[in-house]
Amino acid sequence: MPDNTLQESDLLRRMWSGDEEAFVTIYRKHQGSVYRFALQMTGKAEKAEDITQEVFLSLMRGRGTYKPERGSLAAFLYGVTRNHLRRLLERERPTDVSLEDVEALTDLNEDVLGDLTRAQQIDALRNALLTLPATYREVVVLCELHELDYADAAAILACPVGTVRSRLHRARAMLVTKLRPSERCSTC
Amino acid sequence: VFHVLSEIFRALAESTPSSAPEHIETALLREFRRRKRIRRFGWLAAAGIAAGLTLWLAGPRVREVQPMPRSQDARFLLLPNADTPFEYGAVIRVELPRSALVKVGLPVNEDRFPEPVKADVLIGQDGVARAVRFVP
Repeated sequence: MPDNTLQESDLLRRMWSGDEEAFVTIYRKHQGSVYRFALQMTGKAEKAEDITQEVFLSLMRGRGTYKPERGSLAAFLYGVTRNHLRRLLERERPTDVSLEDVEALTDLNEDVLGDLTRAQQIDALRNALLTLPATYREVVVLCELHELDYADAAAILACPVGTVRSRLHRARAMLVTKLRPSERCSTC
Repeated sequence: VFHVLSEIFRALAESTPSSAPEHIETALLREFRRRKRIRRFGWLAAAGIAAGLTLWLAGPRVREVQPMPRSQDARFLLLPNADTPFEYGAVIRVELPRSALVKVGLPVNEDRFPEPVKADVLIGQDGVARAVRFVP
């Protein structure tokens, strides 16, 4: 078991015994990733705050739920965050763009964002990302925004590395389609 | 186009706040401390029951032979420390020697004297037992 995992196991053991300093150490180390993941998946600060709170409450209550031999605490927390997100996102409307449409429409040589300033490009990408189906959105958030490698993302998403790679490829193509001037959502 | 997209992804990642707002940590710490108090209270209560009841049972016993009247089955009986103020408490079910009935002046069926009796004990957050109710 890596040193880092041993240290985290020790911190968790102390936290579950009531050591506040151990809890604060764990929280401060991981809260950023959890919050950003939730915020980038929902696009809403309020929901991201609720999910962050729920994730750490689950950890606080869930003595013994994290098994160090199964992976890092960071991966475990990403997984717990994802479960909360999925429950939330299941209630939201699905995307209206089919994969077939995306593949037919996407011209990968087209400069889809050339008419926008950088700030507008960021906004356009953020909005387009939020319209992707959750399975594609999460792979983009983890691999592109959190810069996790495919193996780590696959462990969090509980799927093969090849699936991560193919979902990411399709997600990028869908984003390019959604970022075309004629497809951009002016209100979202 | 994917190259451009990667650059914008990087810019989007940099534009996302790196931390959750501070009030989340404050709320979680409040909950952590609350849970810790409850856990500590549980231990105190257990220790209080053990110590308090041992002392209480160590006193002189008086035996009577009538069966327990039904009307007293569910009544909480005050213990000597009942008038000490407490902030909050919990009712914990325990098993006691039947001689505990004698200590609060309840009659005991001598034939069942060796059998333990179930009781609900009200314990304050300070670990002191305030009242007891014997479960028939």
